[in-house]
Parts: sequence; structure tokens; C-alpha cells
Amino acid sequence: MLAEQQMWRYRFAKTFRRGLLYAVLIAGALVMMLPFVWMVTSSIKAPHEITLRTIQWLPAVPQWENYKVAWEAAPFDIYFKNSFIIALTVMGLDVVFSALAAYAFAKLNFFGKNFLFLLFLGTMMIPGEVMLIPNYITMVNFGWIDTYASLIVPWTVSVFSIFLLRQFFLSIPNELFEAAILDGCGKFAYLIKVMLPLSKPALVTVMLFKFIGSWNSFLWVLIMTNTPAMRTIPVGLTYFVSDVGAYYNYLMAASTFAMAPILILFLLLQKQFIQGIARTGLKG
Amino acid sequence: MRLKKLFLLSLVLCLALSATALAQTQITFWHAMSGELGNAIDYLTEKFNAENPDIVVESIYQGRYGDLNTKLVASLSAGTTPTIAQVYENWTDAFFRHGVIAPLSHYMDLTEAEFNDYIEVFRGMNTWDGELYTIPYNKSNWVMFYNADLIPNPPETVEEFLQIAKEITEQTNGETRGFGIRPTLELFHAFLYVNGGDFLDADLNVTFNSPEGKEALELMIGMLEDGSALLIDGYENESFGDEMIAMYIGSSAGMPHVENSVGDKFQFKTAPIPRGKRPGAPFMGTNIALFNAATEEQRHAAGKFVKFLTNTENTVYFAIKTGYLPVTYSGLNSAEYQQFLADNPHKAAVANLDAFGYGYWQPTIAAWEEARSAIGMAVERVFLGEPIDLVLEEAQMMVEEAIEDMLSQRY
Amino acid sequence: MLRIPAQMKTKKYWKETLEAYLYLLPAFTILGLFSFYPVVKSVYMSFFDWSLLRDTQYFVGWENYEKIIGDPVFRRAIMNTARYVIGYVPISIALGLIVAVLLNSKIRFRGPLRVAFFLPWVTSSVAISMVWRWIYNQHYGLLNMMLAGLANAVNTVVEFVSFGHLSEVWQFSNPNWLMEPQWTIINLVIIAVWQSLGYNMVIFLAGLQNIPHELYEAAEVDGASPWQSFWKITLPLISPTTFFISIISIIGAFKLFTEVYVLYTGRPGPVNSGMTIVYYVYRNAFERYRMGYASAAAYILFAIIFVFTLVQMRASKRRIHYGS
Repeated sequence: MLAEQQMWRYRFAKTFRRGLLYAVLIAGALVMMLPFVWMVTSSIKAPHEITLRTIQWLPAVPQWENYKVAWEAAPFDIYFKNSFIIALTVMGLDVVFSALAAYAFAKLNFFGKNFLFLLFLGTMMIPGEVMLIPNYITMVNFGWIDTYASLIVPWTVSVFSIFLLRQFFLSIPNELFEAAILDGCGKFAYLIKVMLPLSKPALVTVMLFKFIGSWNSFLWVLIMTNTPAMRTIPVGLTYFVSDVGAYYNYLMAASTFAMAPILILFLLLQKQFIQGIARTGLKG
Repeated sequence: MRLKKLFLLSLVLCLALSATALAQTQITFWHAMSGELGNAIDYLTEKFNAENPDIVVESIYQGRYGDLNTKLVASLSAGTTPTIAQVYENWTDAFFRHGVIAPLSHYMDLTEAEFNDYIEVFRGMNTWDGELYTIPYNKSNWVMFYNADLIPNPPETVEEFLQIAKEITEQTNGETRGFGIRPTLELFHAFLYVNGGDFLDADLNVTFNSPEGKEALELMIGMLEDGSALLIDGYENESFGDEMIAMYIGSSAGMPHVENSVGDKFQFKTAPIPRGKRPGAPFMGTNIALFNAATEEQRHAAGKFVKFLTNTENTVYFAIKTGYLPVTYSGLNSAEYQQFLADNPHKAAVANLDAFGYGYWQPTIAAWEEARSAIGMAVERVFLGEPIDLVLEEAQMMVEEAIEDMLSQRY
Repeated sequence: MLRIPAQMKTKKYWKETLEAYLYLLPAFTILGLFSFYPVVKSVYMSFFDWSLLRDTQYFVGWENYEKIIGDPVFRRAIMNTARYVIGYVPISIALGLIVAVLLNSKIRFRGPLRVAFFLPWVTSSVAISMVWRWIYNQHYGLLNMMLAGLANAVNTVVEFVSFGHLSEVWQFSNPNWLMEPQWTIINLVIIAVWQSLGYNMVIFLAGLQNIPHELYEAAEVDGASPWQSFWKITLPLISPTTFFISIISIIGAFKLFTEVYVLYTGRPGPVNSGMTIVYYVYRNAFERYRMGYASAAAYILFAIIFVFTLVQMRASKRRIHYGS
């Protein structure tokens, strides 16, 4: 009898907690989504329906041709192609170079390790605005203006990625490393065979952020290129806003199709966070 | 392997390009015109290139004005400037003081008649050292936009304006306010000027900290206090289109946005800014500058191109396509442009011929960026309820400091 | 910094050093060219009256630094930046962790919910700034509309419950978010938290995958509540990730600029209420062409962040649990 009551109470508490959890999460998600809902619905509104005192969430007549107009307002086909080439290359190279560096910082013992790490970290503390001009001059000297090289090479290493991967590598127990080395496994082989598979969520995170960062990068692209043929999507988005007004509907339409690829990438990658790698036997 | 191919390909391309360059003069024009405006420039550029086989002009959009400025600064520091670019007057002044631009009009072979054809106000804004250094290009002015359904006859004087603003508010029980105020330097300038004042005098002395300046600010504050005006943030055309305000003073360059937000909800028109002690029409927009790094051939090619851009036919074409003003009297008076105004009566005030007679503009000094943020901040402070005298006093000090700083710099 | 450990003299140590440098080579090359070099160059520039429009530059020693420290606008910028850092960093980390933990448990709609929280990080800043300018608009913005509705509902309920004795308890003042300076930093914090929540969530999610599941199972068998296992297992074991996020967030927050620039359309907020250190740098570099002066301001910022980071690293050394 008593046990049954307890059981019941326990179940009630559990259901209540669940319910509360869902309520909080869904409310949170709605708040997060609200600006988007407005963005996406505005993308199919007529211009006079957008900024009104009595908010109008949906257009009287959906203006699907906004997407067509937005697409044709700037050479978006070229911009998309460039954005893909640049973001994918940057993403691929960065994860390789950063994993190598992070491995050294996490697992090797070497002269000047802490100093170098601080030095790397220090570069994040300088605002990009003061490095822009010196970097521009470097690019001019290299003859890299208006080439993919200027848009890709400087971004193939980021301290952010190195630091993030280092943190993950550090949390993989050292005992394993030492055992593997004693067994004659080379350090590089260990990185490839053990570290990387175990750090999949971190690698995916690094790649995702790198891709997004590159995809949305604006000022750098604008400064390092002179012709539309080399530019990327964010440059196209500036077409719709000026000092004297904004073409909200076209801007929102363009922003919607500009973010679609990232959204797809996220949907593909987010499964990696569910795997919850069973690390049985790896604990220290 | 692919890299090698690419390399070879680019080598061949380079050679091919340099071969044609022997015969042709290449020039680049950097601008901040996107959308319809950019299309108009592209069209004119192609037309010019077709007519002038010995010159190849590349007109390229380089982001909005702020971005264009950053790009110009970067290119100046690396010696990779374009041949010509759109510039604001205070950029021109900085460039002029540092000696990095050349007088464009020297390379245009202007006859006296052609020179005088450029509208006087615009010549004034583009003159340095007594010379037409830069050429006016996309010029706009500030006018009064009004809801013609509510206001059949626009106010001509400040008194009428205050009266109408009050009436509209009363008529609509405050649903629609008479006037929309954004506390900006431009709006302050508009009321200051018609009240007989200005920001600086010819010798760069501060003149806005004066009874005229104080009255202009009091007028705006008064309209807020008696409810005949609404304080707005965001673009004015949005509140205007939603009938929250019946009048606002803003840039004629915003015309397409006004048309968009108004839709067919009501009729709107434009009128000159109401006159007070004197009439006044503020002119703005950018001009074209020629950079020093250009070779002699490029300078002449650029001169030819800019002359082409601003000839009667093309300045009218650009004005009709974009809503900017023709930059010459012949363009303004052309049958085509006059017909355009007749067909679009809501734009009539924009090209009001009288306005060119009493046009004025913001100071064209390098320190203006700093000075304008000081004055803009003063206007904001007044609207936040700070005492006008104190605020103007402090703004004067800041502006004087900025000017002093500019004059004491090494060039 | 280069303390020489005992193992230093061994051959193995030097061999490993060489090996480590090989791993670091690509990173070092790229960073060397595009980060270290411009840093060194701009440190050098900071001691000059360095104009971007002039070929000759003039050495001025510490003059730039002295002027900046004496400039009330710069002091204002430091205060604004500090306010933002204090407001933004703790909230965004805490919320990111909470959402990550909740969305790591086995619940329905986990995928779509994660997408919802991550969306803000994905959008372009141009669109985001326009959306938020609309949200904050005094007259037709979403925020005031929602607050007014809420105030109305509260008032109605209070009036009803108090039998009409209490009416209008919440007098909604229709704030002008973008034009009243007291809101500027708050506006920016709200946007930044909204935008970075999903970003922190993703990093935390990745970190959570590193915590062995059987620890939770063991805790549950021992009768620990979810609350207890959060404090006893999740928090300590996620500490390397938390450390990472806090360092990155603080550095990022100190560099606040773009958000101000786009939200206030190229101005530092009403009456300089959004003037930040990097805004100050930008303005001097690109609007006033004074690169030396701007660089000096950037290095003052660097010094501030560097000290913060060192303190943070020291303080957290004992509290981070790596692996074992």
C-alpha cells in the first residue's frame, strides 16, 4: 500500500518534471524562433505589409516572386558557387591543421609549450580591424588580391579550433596514450586511429563553426576582392539595405535562401551529437 | 596537376590582357550603387565602352558607403587605388589634404559653357583650392514628404507647418501625428538653416551655438511636447507609410522606399522644406574623385568617362532611373526630364528649380566625420531632456577641438 | 614563462619537441603570416603618428597611448565594454549549458528543438540587425507589443483578483529601446545571448558526449536525483568545455563591435552609449585614418583581455577535470 503510494508519487513527480521540461523547452524554442518567423514571413510580404503598428504575421497574398527578384538582384549564382568552394575548403583544411596542432598541445611534451599556446591564444585578443590593413598589404604583395587564395589560406587555421580540439584531446585519458605508445603504436597513428574517432563530436563542431564563419564572412571578402566574380553571399545581402531605407522583403528572402545550406549542414551533422560514444573501458 | 593547368591558364590570360592593354586604356570606377542604381551605372558603362573602343571602363560595386570608404582606405595604404571612385565631400577633403587625389576637371576638356552647366550648388560642394576637384554624380536633396490625402496644400512657411502639424494631430485624435522627428543632425540642420543659422562659417568658426540654433531645437522639442510630432526610430518612410505621421523631412534618395511603404494606401507628394527667416534646400550625395596613382592616359580616359556620365543625355537617364538629380542645368531643363516630372508629380519638389538658388550643404571638411558625431550627439541629448544651452556649449567645444586637430595634423 | 624542467636535458624530450613542432608547423606558418606578422607590424605602428593616407610616418613614442588614456570617450568605451562583458558572459554560458543538458536527455523532438536554438547563429548579421531593429522599434516593434499585452493581462488579472481595488498596477511606459541610452547595452546583451545560445549549446553538447554514460547509470542506482547528478557528474566532467567557452566568450565579448555597428546603422548608439573599445579602434582607423592611434587602442584592449585570461587560467587550473 505504502509502496504503491510512493510509486504513484514518484510517477507523478516524473511526469510533472517531464511536462515542465517540455513547456520550458518549447517556450524557449518559440522565443528563439520568433525573429525567424518574422523573417521568413516577411520574405513573402508586399513591401507595405512589413512595418505596421498592428503586426501582420502573414501576407494578404503571398509574394513568392520576392525570391526571384532577390535572386536576380545580385549575381547570387556566382556568390553561391564561391561561398561553397571557399567554405568547404576552409572547413576541410582547418580541421586537419587544427587537429595536428591541438594534438601537439594536448599530448606532447615540448619546449615552449605553454608559451606557444598563450601566443596562439593571444592572437584572438587583437581586434581584426587593426590586422586588416597589414593583411591587405601582404595580399597585395603576394599577388593574391581577387583570388581564392586570399579568401581561403589565412582562414585554414584558427586558434578557436585548435583550442576546442585541445580541450577534447586533453579529456581523453593519458593512460591509454602511454599504453599505446609502449605497444609500439606511433604517435601519428594514435592520433588517426584513436584520438580522432573518439573526438567526433568536437571535430564536427569545429567543422560546423568553421563553415558558418566562412559562409557569413563579409568585410574580409569585400576588402580582398575587387570583382563580383570572386565574391560571396554576404556581399549580395548588402544590396538590399541603404542609408535611406531597406527592401525588407527582398533582404529577408535572400537571407532565407542564404542560410538554407547551413541549416541542411546542421541537420546532417547534429546526429553526431546523439551518438554519445560509448567509451566503456576508456575511463581512467 | 590541376593547379599547374590553372597557373598556365592564368599566365595566358595575363599575357592576353596585357597585350590588349597596349592598345586600350583600362580604368576602374568603384561605387556604392546596388540594385536599380547599379544597373543604371552598368548600362552607362557598357554604352561608353561600346562607343570608345580604346578605353575599357570597369564599374564595380564595392559595398555600401562605409564599406567603400574602408576599401578606399585599404587601397590607398597599399597603392592599389581605383582610377576613380564615388566619394563624400569630407573624404575628398581628407584625400585632398593628403594629396592623394587629382583635380578631375583638368582632364575633362570642359568648355566654359560645359563648366557652367554643372549646377552651381554642386560646383560649390566640389570645389577645392578654387578648382572643380571632384565631379558631382549622384546628388539628392532633402524635401518634405507629405500625405496628400490629409494635407491638400503643403505648408510653405514654418508657421503654416506648425499649424498644419497640430491640426492633423487633432483631427485624427493623435492616430496620425502631423510630423515625424528623428533626432538627427540633418533635421537640426534643416530647421537651423531656415532660421538663419548654420553649423560653421566660411572660416570654420562654430555658429550653431547661437539663438538660431537654440530656437531650431526648441521648435522640434515643442512639437514633441504638444503632440504634433512623433519621435520615431527606424526609417521615416516606414512610419509614414503606416500613417503614423503625415509629414517628414528626408532624403529624396529614399523615394523608392517611400513608394514601397505607402503602396496604394494614400497619395503622397513632396514639397520644399518650409521657409522661416529664409528658404533653404539641403543638398547631399556623392561625387566622383580621381586618384593620383592613375597614369596620364588613365586620367584622360577617366575624364572622358565622367564627362560622358554627366552629359545631358546620361545625367537625365541616371536621374530618371534612380531618383537622383540631374547634375547639370541642361539635364534639369531637358524636355525628357521635365516630362518625367510632369508624369510623376510626387517627385516635383525634388527638382524644384528655385531650390537650387538657395541650396546649402554640410561642411566639406575632413574633420566633419568627428564634428557631425558631436553635433548629432548634442541633438540626441536635447531630445533626452538635457538643457539646450549646456549641450550646444559642449558640442561647440568638441567641434572646435576636431577642427583644431584637423588643422594641426601632419599631411 | 619558459621554466626549464628537469626532463629538459633528456634526448627524448628534444625528440618530442621536434615532433611537436612538426605538428604545429602548418598552424604556425599560417598564423605567422596572417596573425603574428600583422600584430608585430601594428604594435610598431602604435608608436607612430601613422596615417593611412600618407607615405611618411612620424615616430611619437608613447604619445598615442597617453592621448587614448586621457580621452574621456575611450574611458566611456571601456565602461560600456565592461558592462557588456559582465552582462553577456555569465548569462550566455549558463543558458547554453542548461539548454545543452536538457537537449542531451532522451526527449522527443530533440532534433527540431536543437535546430530552433541553433538558428540564430546561422543567419546573416544584416538580416538579424534589421529584424532586431524592428523588434525594438518603439511604435511598431514586437517587444513593446508583447510587453503592452503582458501589462494589460497582468492589470486585468490584478484588478479582478483585488475586486477592482488595484487597477493599472503595471503602468507600461512604451520604452524607446533604440533611442534611450540606458537600454543600449541591454539591447546588445539580449541580441548576443539570443544569438550565441545555440552556439554555446552545440559546444556543450559536444562536451557532454565525452561523459561516460555509465556514470549516470551508477548514480541513478545509488538513488541520486537528476539535480544531484548534474552537480556531481555533469558539471565537473564538462569543466574543460566550460573553461573553453568562458575564455572564448570573454575574448569575444571584449571585442564587441559589429553588433553595435549594424544595430545602430553605423553609429555608436545614442549619445555614445554603444561606444566600445573596438568601435573606438574602428572609428580612428577607418573614419579618421589614424592607424597608429587605433593600433595603440587595440593594444590597450589586448592588455586588458590578456590579464583577464591569465587570471582565469590560473583560477580554473585546479577546477578543471581532464579525463581521469
